[in-house]
Amino acid sequence: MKLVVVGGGPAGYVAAIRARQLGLDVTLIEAEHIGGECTNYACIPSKALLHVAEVYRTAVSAPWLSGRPSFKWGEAVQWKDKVVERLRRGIELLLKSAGVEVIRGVAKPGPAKSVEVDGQRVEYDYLLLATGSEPVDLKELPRGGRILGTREVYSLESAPASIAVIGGGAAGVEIASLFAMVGAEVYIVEIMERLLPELDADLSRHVERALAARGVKVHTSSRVLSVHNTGGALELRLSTPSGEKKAETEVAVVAVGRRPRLGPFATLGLEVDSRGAVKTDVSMRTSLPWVYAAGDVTGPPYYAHKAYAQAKVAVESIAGLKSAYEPRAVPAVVFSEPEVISVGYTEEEAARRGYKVKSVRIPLAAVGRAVATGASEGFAKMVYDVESRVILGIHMVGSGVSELAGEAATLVEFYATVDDLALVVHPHPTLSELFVELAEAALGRPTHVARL
Amino acid sequence: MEFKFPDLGEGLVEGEVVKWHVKEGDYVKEGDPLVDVMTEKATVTLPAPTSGRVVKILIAEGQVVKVGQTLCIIEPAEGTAAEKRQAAEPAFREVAAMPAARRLARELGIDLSKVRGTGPGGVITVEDVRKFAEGLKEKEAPKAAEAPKTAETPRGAEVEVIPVRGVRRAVAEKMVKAKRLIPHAYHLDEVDLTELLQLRERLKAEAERLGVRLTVLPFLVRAAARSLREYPMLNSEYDEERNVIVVKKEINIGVAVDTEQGLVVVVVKNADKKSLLELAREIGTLAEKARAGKLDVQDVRGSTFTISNIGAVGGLGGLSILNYPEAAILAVGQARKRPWVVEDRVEIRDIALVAVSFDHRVVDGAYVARFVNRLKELLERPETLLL
Repeated sequence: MKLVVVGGGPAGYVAAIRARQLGLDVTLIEAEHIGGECTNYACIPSKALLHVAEVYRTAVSAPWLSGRPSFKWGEAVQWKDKVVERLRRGIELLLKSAGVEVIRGVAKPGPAKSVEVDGQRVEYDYLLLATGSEPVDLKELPRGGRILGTREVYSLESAPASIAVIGGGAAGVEIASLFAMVGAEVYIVEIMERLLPELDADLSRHVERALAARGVKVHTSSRVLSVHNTGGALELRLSTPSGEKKAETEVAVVAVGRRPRLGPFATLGLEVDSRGAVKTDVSMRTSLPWVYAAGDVTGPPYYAHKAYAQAKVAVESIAGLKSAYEPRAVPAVVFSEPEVISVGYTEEEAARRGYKVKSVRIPLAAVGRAVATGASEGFAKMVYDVESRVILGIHMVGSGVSELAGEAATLVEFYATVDDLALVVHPHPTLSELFVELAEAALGRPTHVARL
Repeated sequence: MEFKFPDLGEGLVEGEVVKWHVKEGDYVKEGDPLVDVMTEKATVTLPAPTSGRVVKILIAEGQVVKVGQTLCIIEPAEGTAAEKRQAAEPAFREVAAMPAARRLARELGIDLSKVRGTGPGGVITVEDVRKFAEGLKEKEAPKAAEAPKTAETPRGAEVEVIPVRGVRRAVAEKMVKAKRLIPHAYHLDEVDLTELLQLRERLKAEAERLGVRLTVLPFLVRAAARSLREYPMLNSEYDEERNVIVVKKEINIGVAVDTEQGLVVVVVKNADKKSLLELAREIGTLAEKARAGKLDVQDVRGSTFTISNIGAVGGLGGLSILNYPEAAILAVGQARKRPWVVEDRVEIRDIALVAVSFDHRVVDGAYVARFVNRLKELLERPETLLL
């Protein structure tokens, strides 16, 4: 059976590997770089740069360090490029060793069950669209020159002294965190009333405060009215709740979101929703029985880990296995400083689904490790059902909490109860002790939280 | 929206899904053929109640669906659908099952809402799903045929694997049940049909003029019905649950009809109260309906005794399996010309083999022998049947 995968990003390459494991004949077509947006332009570059920026910030603020270090942006970007290249090569090697045929070029639908790449026709029994997404543009901020997209901002030749980040979602907050840490003057403009509007409101408030404490000028319920390039800088006119404001920055970055990208495959006439996302059933099959889709092209959330999971389901379904994408908790992680995780339901979501909800909250300072690493700001929150005591959601904000998202997802997926969790011995001193504290708080007997 | 198996009336309680015209994920337009369900009377094609996407098919082909049970879930096309979903959400309560349990349930086609969870807080574990599946298997074991076992067929073997569906499946299930639950015993005899055949010849033209094809069958039905009035224990059933014998006051004779799809038993109600002509007319109509697949529920329900007229096709005779839960069935072979001793002289007579299979829990052989003697008397003096 022949499978053609269009797109070599997280959905595409994972699908190709799994398809080979299941004995399918696979051709993967990629127009740009294997690894897609995530590896080449988003998740990985941002994490590499955020890491070095955080090392710098720690060093700068460390009382035990003598002398003042300086941040070399150019070298940091080079290091980031090396990281990206290493991971991209790794994926290429994985594809090769799995026996996936890779064709470079832009694929478009061919006659009957075939695609065409630069005049070359590839026939298939099944087609998997992993064509990803593309950034949403703003009319008043056309990309080009000093107005950047999320790709360009991580490859700037020199660090800007000032930057305006338009969009307060995950990507915007990460960019704002990065440049704040390397000492730039940062504005962040979000049209909704809070940053990270899709996450728990408590988390948003904390991130806003943390960014503001680092000097970031946070403008929520705000938008850019106009932008004027003076030659040496950008002059932005902002509409904010406290009236019109002006901001002058070296560059601006547009990070207002993404939308599914079908590219030439829009002509297939697949059913799409109002966002333009390809509609699929739980087996990731589209309205055409021989066409499947996975990843960003199926709509939000735009996470690589969601793409991985959908890709595996799609290919397993194609191979005739009964596979379904129906996760209970897809972790949301924002690698801002401080980091944010949101796994499972928020209180409102859980209540809407008929649960009798309660939540508990623990400050990060309750665990020794957070204090020892100088990262005690932040909190952890757990949402659970009062009757069954099942853990429904875990939400955290703080340095290093991204690594706890996996355990949080495990708890939610396994319908762990607060009683279970309280009995699991967690290693001391680690941030994971937050879980035990949360469970004990739910049981009304937290050990490391003082009763005031 | 959940598409439930509608009440098609006439006391119908269930049907068997024969064919889905759509797959999960397919989009349907209102009125498009959605699914074929075979009921006791006929196969009905149910149209899609609304336009939208078939999100989930809950009753697979070959499975039985009860009236009111959800056949599939259709997500209505855009617009109001989303709003409706939102409105319905507060009532929604998830089924708590661990990830691997959810996957296993999907693989085995098990509805998790039916599985009892034994994990903490009643969470369904893999073990729970496995046990539930085993329970299902045990329950379904007597059903002669589960899904076609194509997977077990060796590749390249010269076989054809036929899914057991529809009438074939109904027959299969009923036969297994009858053989498993009823201790069958048999009584054989021969009956001289010479005069009956002569009488039929004489009446045939007259009947045809009245628009009725007169076969041997109505004579058999009438004779059996009359005999049953005198031997009511054979017009009964053994109730296994209560361990009682239920003797029926009404004499409703089931007549086995051979159709293209398989054996169908049509029922002549109150056969003992109907004239030969009425019986002939009714049997003719029913057989025609059966072959056209247009039977109504009442045409196949409520028989108390069954006759299999093997002779209509040909053959010396046969030993029938009881038509569960009835206590007796009569099989009549083909009447063949044979040298026969009549008043110490050898004559050429039309002789047929009659066999009664009976539930030995209900009656003993002697009772059946007496019943058959009476039956023979009537068949051999057929003019009495005209009374």
